[in-house]
Amino acid sequence: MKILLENLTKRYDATEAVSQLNMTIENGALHFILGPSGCGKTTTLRMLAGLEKPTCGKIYFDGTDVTELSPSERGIGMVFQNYALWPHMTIEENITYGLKLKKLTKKEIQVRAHKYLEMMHLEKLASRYPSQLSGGQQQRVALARALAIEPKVLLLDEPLSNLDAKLRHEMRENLRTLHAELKITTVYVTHDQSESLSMGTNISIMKDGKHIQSGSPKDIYNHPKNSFIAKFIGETNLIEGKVTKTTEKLHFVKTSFGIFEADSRGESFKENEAVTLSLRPELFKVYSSKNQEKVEKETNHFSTHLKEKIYLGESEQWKLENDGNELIAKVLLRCEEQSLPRGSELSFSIKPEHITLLRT
Amino acid sequence: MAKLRKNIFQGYNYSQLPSYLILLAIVFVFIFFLIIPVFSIVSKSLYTKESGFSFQYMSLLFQNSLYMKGVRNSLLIGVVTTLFSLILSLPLALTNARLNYKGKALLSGLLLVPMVMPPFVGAIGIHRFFARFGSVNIFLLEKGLITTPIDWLSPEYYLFLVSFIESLHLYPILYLNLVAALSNLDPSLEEAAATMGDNKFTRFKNITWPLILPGFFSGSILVFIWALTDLGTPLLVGFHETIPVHIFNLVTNAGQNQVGHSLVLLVVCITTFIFLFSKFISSRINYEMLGRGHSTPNVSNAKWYDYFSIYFISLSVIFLALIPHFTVLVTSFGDNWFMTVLPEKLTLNHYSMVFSESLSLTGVKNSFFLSTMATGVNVILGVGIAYIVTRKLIPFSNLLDSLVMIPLALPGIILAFGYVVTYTGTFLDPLENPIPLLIIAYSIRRLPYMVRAASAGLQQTSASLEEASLLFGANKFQTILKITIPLLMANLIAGALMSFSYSMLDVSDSLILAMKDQFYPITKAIYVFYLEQGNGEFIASALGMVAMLILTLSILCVTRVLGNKMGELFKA
Repeated sequence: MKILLENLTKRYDATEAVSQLNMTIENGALHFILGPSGCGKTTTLRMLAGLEKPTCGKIYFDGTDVTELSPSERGIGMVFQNYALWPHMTIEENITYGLKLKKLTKKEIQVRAHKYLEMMHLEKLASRYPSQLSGGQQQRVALARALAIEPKVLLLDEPLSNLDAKLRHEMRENLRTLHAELKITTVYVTHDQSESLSMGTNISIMKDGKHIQSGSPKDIYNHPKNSFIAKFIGETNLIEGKVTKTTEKLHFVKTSFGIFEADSRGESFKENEAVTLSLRPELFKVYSSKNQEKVEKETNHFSTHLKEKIYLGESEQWKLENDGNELIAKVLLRCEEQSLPRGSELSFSIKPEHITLLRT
Repeated sequence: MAKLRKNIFQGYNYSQLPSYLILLAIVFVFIFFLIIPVFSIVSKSLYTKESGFSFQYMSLLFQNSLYMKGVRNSLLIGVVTTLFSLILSLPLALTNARLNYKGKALLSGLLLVPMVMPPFVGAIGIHRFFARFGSVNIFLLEKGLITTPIDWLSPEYYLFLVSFIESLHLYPILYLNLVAALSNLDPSLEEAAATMGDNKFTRFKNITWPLILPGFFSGSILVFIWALTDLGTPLLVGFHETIPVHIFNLVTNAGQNQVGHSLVLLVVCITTFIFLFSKFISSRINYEMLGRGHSTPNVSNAKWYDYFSIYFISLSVIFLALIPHFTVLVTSFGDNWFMTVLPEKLTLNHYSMVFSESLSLTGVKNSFFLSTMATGVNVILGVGIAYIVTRKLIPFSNLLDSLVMIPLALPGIILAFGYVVTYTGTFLDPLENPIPLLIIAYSIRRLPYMVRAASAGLQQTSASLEEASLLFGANKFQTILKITIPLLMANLIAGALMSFSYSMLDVSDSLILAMKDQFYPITKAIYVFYLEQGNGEFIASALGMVAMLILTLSILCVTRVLGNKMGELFKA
């Protein structure tokens, strides 16, 4: 099912929760709507579900206008953030509720219930009540209930936010396999960027009720459209600068650290235009003073000193300082520079293709 | 550091002593003024000097057709009243829990006013308007719509009439419980159902109703017991074949009529059974709500077409509920009113009599004094108990909570009867001076509301606010005075006003315990005026109006202070 949102707007009294939203969700995608809290992502999902009526704009499912349809007429299944399991019904009753309303025969209901209970490993819990289940189990029931009605679109509202870290990682894996198996068009709302990067086939980013950028996880990570996205997705260093010279392939940007050469990526900037550089911490290379010759062969290289080190387990986070300007670099623990003590003089470099230029 | 530790330690130490003192006070009060009175009734009905312990009076009771008819009538009044109350309150609760509209605060306040309107006063007005030659019939005769007067108040309709008047008084209790249950409901539970393809009716039937059922139970059980045992309304309507009126008539020869005592015992058994049964059912169906999700409020703004139904339903209910009181209002101003639709002349004479007659003046004065005293006792005990229970200061503090709720199951009429049986001839003899017993009866029966009000506030006040105060060097007493009480103030005021209003309204204790005119509270004064020939009815109405005015003002204050949390107070 291909979903199209056209100029979707939702206004509550004076505030505009979602404004002029245009978005395409491809058939069979695991599409993430990502944004900080209050960006309008849940409101968008609720409009997709039909639980909220848009102030204006249209929603199309496979080209058919569904804006005026009730939730049950849209063929959607939804998992709520708190699962919304009916506490007065057993797990099985929760799952078969929608099937009974669809007037399926007893036999069909039984088969369907069994199929999804089995799929979610809930067979043994069928006669229990939701309050007797753990958070992870409740989550699976919510998913089974939404899938049992065999919807054309699955809507997930922060489904993993109530689970602990370990279970969350496990469920990410399960959800991804499930999606790969069922190939059902899924819209997944979250504020957790690592969830969307690791699971999604597509990501749309929202801020202040507006849609900012859509693309594959890789696309968005490597080519963020603005500094908000660069900062929101992964970690980054943002440095203000001014374009001093441009060639077909390279832009030269003057910053407080010195001049950076950055790949043009087909984008043109005027001379003297103010820009922001996004430098991902893991893309820096660091050199101790012993390796001075090596560093001098690199294009963007600068000398600096090591102000602080924070141990992260698999890597270390280094704070590099140059005349009051600071940068964060992520240093893998196996490199030979690892043992440099705090306060050491050192150099760092970054490749031109690893620098993203953002308009300010 | 040492000082700090010492302070915390001291605070902890001091906190134990008052807890146990309050516990001791409660146990003392409950033993002497709940358990012993009930026990005396039990023993009088099951034990006599001549024949020892026997169930003979119990079996005589079951053969006594008069009493059995009373039991049947009263049970029916309970059931019908609960049904009527549900019909009145459910639409109101659904609209008010789900919709925001202009004038909501005022309208939902007005909906609660009938709660403090003494129904038995309303009954006086009903007589005036619906009697054989009352206003309604005269109006219909004058217009030629009927040729012979309709017997509105024929004994056949008594049951219906009493239930109707009771439900117009009691529906707010159910309404508050339903509103609380509905606003407690996680909106996503209904939304999840909406994605499954049901319509609004099946959703209400399958999801909403089962989930608010515990709220319905805790409200309806109060309504049921209240209606079953209310004395004032059947007495003034004239429906004498009911349990409360039978018991009221028994008081004159209390101690002699064993079959009568068995009737009282039977009532105790019925109410206790119903109360425990409903507790049992509620605990079985009281589903633990899982965490609430994305906090989408399930309150939406009313559309223009909603306004019509909201105002129509609410105003009709308020109008219906106020009809009896409106009739009282007209009666209180009526002068020389005989065989006409409305009084020929209006007068303030009845009011001036209210303020000059010693019976009414003493009544107002007595009620103020008794209610104030009872409220004072309640505030102290109520806050103490609520504090012990919510902060779990003693082992088995939940047991204490259940103990305090017993008066909800014990009707005032039984308690008052028990006091007469137990304390006649002792230094507390109500015939000599009923003041102490009246204060105790007033306060013990409203204690549950006070405890609820205070607990509701305490549960919302994090204990860490008090701990912070202790850490900054205050002792426990200073902390309670400077932190806890100020944070609780709204709830305390609400609870105290509730307790005060219901004491002012008390019928059963007042009618039974106050036996000499100098001790009559306002309600007994109204009753005595009503029984008087001549102007009595009019003066009773005027005095009733004065009482209602006081109570309306206090309920409006409570709603202002408590808002939607009102429901917390009226749970069984």
